[in-house]
Amino acid sequence: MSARVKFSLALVGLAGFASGQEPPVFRSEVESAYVDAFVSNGEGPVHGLRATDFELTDNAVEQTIELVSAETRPVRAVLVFDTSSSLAGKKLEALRASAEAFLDGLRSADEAGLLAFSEEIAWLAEPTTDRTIVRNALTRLHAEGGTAAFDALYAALALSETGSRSLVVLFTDGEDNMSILGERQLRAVAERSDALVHVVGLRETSRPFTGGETNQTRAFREIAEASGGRFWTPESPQRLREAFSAIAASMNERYVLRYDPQGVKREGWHALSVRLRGASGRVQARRGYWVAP
Amino acid sequence: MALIPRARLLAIAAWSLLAPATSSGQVVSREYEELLRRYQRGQRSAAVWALGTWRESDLDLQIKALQRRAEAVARCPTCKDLLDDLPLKAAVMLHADRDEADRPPAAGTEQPRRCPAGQARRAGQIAAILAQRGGTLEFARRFFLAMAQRCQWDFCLEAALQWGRDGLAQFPRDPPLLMVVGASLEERATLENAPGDERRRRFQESEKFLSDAVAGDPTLLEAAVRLGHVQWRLGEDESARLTLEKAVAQDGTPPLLYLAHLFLGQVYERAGWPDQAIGEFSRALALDPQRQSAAVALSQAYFSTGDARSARRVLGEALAYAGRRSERDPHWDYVASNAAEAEDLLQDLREETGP
Repeated sequence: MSARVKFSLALVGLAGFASGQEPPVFRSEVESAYVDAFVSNGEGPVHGLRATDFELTDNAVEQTIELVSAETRPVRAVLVFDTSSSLAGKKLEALRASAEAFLDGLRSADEAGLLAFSEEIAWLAEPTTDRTIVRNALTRLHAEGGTAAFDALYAALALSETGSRSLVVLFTDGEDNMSILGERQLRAVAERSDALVHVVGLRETSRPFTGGETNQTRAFREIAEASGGRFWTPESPQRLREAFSAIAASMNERYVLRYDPQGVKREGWHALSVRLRGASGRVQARRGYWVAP
Repeated sequence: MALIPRARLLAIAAWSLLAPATSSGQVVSREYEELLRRYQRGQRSAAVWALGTWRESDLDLQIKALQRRAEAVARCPTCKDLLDDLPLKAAVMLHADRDEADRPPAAGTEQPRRCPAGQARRAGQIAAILAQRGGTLEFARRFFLAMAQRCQWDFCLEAALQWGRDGLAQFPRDPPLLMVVGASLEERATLENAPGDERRRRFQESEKFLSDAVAGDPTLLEAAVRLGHVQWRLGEDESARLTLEKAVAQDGTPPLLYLAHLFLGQVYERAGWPDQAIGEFSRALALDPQRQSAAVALSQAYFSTGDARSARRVLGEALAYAGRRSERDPHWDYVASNAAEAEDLLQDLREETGP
């Protein structure tokens, strides 16, 4: 979900926006809110829905919505890749191939970037529409070191742009052992971010997410689902590629709902509920957003 | 080294078992003794290699013989001390080095390494003898500490705890030994995916050892930093605050002070005191602006106050250091940083094995 902002000229001047600096994440005034929704049934995405097929409530108050063409709102995707030493070898090759498949699934106006992490977090390619830059960056992925997945996801969320359809795809194959941040802080940041989060956790028999769902797996799954995304658990390199392709494809099959919040307090947490009326299907959408005072 | 004929060994074993424990009745083979002396003379590699040709059961007989001699000496303080003739420090390090040689290096950062086994156990048995003797007490204490640290560094946490506890059995209030046990328990609780109750129990146990270490040596900053962090992990925020506020006021190395500020910042952050948290994270970062963990924590603290501009600036600066940091962030190695000196400590002990 993203919320566009009206700035007063004075505020723009104070914030240094005119001099090329980025605007603050938290909006001074919400004009319209955008919610990305993915609708599926047992057979795949559901197409052809109209605005009247959706029911959206903001803090339990039903809102009047319209559908916006997804084509008019390019995606800004950040791939956040675990490059810890456990990725060495075939897994890293599979990850590169999966990223290529993901890039192939984006539209030309969409941006993509690559943020790699072991214990250290590094931009290998900042978001750009130039696919060559990202493909070259993929060749520089190198498996070494520990895993700071929470910190890396924080970085991707904190640096995600407002006003575009931000997509963060985190890939990790193991347990975090280096982050300074934990689940609590990450949840708070995810709630305050506009980004749609998908987490891909490679599962394999020799080094699985052990003993069912770990705390980390649960945290990532819940954060992804709360943003309207998913936690994916491919069990083989082939499935990994399919997961990344599906994530890219789903961005073109999502419904972008727009509304001007009515009857709700502007500041604070906005709990969202998106359902279908008169149509069948499962809706995945952000569960809320935050407007700072 | 020539292998001892099996028949002779059986005879030795049988005799050892039957013989009365007099000071003259303890048999350490000439071959074994010569091996120890080679190590003592500085021919360490050759001695370590030669030890590898011995059968496990033969070596256990030698250790048993040493233990019997020690028992005899203990029973008769006025008798000639037969252990004085043996280079026991060399024996400890010889077995420890053989153990290390038997373990291939880890394949990578997150890859497991085979844990110390039989040769290390024998080194520990000889160290336990040294721990009973006035002149070698300190050597034995440092050996138990070094082995506990080596095991912790290699993520052999069960073994680390065992070495630490064996050391504490000989030196019950020793702060560094208390700390290595506390730190190993903390590492286990942090990294192993145990159920919530089990994890909490490990943190509580860790807290107890670390608390005893701090009580035993209030200047041991690393123990205090760990204690504060464990208290925070346990949700004992007030205790954590008090412990870490004291820690940041102590003298210490920049990496330890960095961790103290970082962890105190976490306490403030969770308590809902963002300004104090920002202050501590900033102090941590001021110790070395290249540190990523402090930058990420500071960025998140700014973000939580709605100051996204500062959050992004700090984060952007941290990411710009990627690949060109002059030192690793101490937080990355925190779980086992107390054990980083293990090999240096063992090298010091090796140097003390000479005649």
